Amino acid sequence: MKTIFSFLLGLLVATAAAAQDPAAGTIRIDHAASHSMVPGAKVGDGYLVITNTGSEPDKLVAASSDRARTVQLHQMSMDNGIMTMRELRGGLAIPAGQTVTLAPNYHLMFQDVSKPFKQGETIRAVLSFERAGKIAVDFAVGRIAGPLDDVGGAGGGMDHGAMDHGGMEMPGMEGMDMSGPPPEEAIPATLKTMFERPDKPLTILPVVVRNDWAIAGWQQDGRGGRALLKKGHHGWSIVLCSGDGIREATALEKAGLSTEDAGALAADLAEAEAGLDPKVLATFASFEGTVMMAGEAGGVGQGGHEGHGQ
Amino acid sequence: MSARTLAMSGFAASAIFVGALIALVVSLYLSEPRTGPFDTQFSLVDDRGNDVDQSIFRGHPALVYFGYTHCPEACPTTLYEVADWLATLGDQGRALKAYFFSIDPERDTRELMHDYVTAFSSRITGITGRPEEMRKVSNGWFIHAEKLPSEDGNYHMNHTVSLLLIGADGRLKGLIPYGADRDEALAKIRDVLLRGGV
Repeated sequence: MKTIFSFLLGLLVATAAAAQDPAAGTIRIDHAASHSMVPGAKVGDGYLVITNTGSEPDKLVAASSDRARTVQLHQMSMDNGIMTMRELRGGLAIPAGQTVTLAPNYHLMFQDVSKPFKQGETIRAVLSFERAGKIAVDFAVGRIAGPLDDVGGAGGGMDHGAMDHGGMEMPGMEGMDMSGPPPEEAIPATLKTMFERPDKPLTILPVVVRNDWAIAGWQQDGRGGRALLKKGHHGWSIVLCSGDGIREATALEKAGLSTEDAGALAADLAEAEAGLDPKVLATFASFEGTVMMAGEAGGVGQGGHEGHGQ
Repeated sequence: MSARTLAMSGFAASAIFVGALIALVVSLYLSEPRTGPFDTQFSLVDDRGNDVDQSIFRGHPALVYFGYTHCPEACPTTLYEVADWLATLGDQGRALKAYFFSIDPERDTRELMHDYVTAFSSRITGITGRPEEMRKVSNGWFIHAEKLPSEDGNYHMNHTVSLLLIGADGRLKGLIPYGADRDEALAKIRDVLLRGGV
């Protein structure tokens, strides 16, 4: 009996201790900001920077606001020009000692807003964390689009002020990108996800990589070519598709590579392709002209590519 | 279960569309103009109530974007940038048209589109209409647009967020990817749309 009592007492003490634990103090919110809503729009957005100053991992699990019927946490991803947005149902992990910035990969979305957000006002929302519990956050409303750097500073959010802002430099999201598979695996995986179909298998061979640039040979359904890829914020993306047009260092330089990278990549490619069946090389060569896919490569082929293949 | 299956099929569909987009760009860039310009017939309405058909892609170079007004980020950001580009190009870009096609015409009424686009620039024309007509246009340009239902009965759209640069001859001249650098976007517009007799 005594044992049970002390057990219950112990449980009670433990519960009380947990309730008093200032876990909320371990989560800091900065730069909470929203865009003002475009006339006619029914949804508002919310961005913020969350820092877990504690020693235990936490998780943002839900959000609500009087200004919206629901507030969802969204994750965005880009697949070569197509933006996919998913509700993050499992919550967003905020690892101990880390800072997670919700833009650009994540955002809060205020759904069915009856009174549109106006520039200059603040929008109160309550964020629920697994450990830290509920935290009220005021989102400062800025322009209708574009950067929100000029709002959401001192006035927005719950800036506890006392913390060392050096913690802001910790690249929460970037760190996750770095831990991905090596490019020799990531590139074929990316290309296959995008282009492979059950009835049309895609062969990616070879893949040569130099810093943030790569060339991948591809064959599918009797056709083939070479793709030049560049590593950006959203992983590897195709800069251009070509046949023999990007085998030479000079062509790669024109596409934006440094002289050194261009030379090295061309040499690596020649070496990697030396052992290939001549039929495969002929397939690569069969891709006519050069097709620009993205504009991120900095002045890539400006003015030149339209005339290709003539 | 069903949501997962849907997401998977959407994924597969997007892959097909990207492939198709590349195929389109390939065919347009190759020497032989064997794939003609956009030639699908359709009937829609602009935000001021004017009828819109396939002739909208002829006679002027145009910045063409497919989006929707419930779009949380990509669409307002893009229209904001388009407004900036038009203002920056000034006289040089006078001939340029800017079209915002709704991929969510069920919710995007003409009035809503009007309020929405004019918040960014009076030079942006919003276009909506019957969903089946809109699909002709989006399919014609190989634009991927897919509903993604959410648990609360609402839906989002997964969609192509690249902006199309279409010449006065009705042909695709290039793409500006979402998030492109301002100077690069302007250079590309000048380069492929505003230089020499397009």
